[in-house]
Amino acid sequence: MIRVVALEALDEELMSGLTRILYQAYGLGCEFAGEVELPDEALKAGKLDAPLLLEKVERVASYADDKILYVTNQPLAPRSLPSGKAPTPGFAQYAGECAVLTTHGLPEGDPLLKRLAKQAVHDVGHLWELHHCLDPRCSMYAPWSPPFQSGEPVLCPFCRDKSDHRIRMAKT
Amino acid sequence: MGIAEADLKAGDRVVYPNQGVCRVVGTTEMDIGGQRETFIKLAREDDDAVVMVPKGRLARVGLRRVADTADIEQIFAYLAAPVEGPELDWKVRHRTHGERMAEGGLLGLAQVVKSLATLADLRPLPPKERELYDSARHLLVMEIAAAISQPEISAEDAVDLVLFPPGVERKKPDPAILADAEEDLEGIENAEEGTGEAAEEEEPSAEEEEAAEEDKEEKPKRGRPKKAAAAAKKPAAAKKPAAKKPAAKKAAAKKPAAKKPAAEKAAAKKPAAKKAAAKPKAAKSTTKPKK
Repeated sequence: MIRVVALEALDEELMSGLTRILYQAYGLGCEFAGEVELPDEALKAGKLDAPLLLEKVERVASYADDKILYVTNQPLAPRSLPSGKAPTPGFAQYAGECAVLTTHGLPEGDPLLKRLAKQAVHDVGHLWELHHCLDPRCSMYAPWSPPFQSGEPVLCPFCRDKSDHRIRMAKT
Repeated sequence: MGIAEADLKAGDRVVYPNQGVCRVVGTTEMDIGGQRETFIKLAREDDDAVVMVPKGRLARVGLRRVADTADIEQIFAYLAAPVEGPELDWKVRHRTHGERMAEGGLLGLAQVVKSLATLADLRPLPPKERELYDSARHLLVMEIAAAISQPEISAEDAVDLVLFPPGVERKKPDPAILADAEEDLEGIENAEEGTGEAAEEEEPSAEEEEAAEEDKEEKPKRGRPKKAAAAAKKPAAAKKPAAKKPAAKKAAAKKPAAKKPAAEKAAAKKPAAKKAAAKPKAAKSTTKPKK
């Protein structure tokens, strides 16, 4: 089960569209699990520290293997890595339980849902042990690259097969 | 960067080729084939799977320590460096990638990842190479994450920041190279199905087989030669010598028909007059061995 949790008041229609697309992408039950409070310590200079946020945020009740996707309007701080600064539209714990993504900086109106869903599919993919993909049409492609900004929130056959396998092998 | 047994202690992080980052659990003794052997027990960090390495073979299996930050900088410099073009010969690629994966060095993993990512600029990777890319990338990302003490996703992003720099459009493939790559794709697909060049030399092609089958089917239609028909009507005793014909000879008799080139096939399908002229010869060839 994938649980979508809001960190602030978010448009319900947007959340319901997001859960529908995640269900289509992974073939797993997906529900909007309400709202939890944003941990104050994760907010630094007006931006959220994504790894710290995932450590501190309240967990919604879930079974083992459930994946929790937090959605926020606040911008996520870019991470300093040995190879440069990584833009951070979302952040996931690889093979873990939680991921966070932001609507900040996404286009308003109709394209918002598609763009948000693409990032959501990407981050949930990391939770299911998917790596970045080489197919520009796949949602697991590098998220800062131009092809990622357009296109449908879908997985390529390889990533779809791999995620299906991981889901089948999950304990619950 | 091999490792000596004396250097290892419980809790150390090491890299086992093709398995990834492991943690040393301790040593254990086991009876193997009546001999008492001491093993170093490792737990793979991905899934806690146990890996046992005989004490005397640590260097031989390629066990090494996790790379340090200086090594990681070199890896990023290598990944960021421009590349001339991918290796288009699938046999060379298959061999070199296999060797690098078996060696288990960090630079080798980076070479496999970069080579396949560059190849993917030209065309989608075939399934086997896509799997290889995923395995190499997983091992690379896990070791980088262990080396820089950051989450795996950060290591993943760090690799892609140099492979796919932000805001940079992937280059369009050169049509000439793409044509070569298509031939290459056919080659590797055939190899995966076990119908490579070597197989083609031994076995007749699909066209030749079809021609052979057509010949078999067409012979009765043309009418069996009179002598052959008479031989067929003879009692069973008369047929025996033909039946005892060794399999090798049979195969040899079949082969020329199977290897009949396309031009001959076309000639065989010429008008009836030519077919009739060809008939006596065919009758002779079929009756000869039965004498």
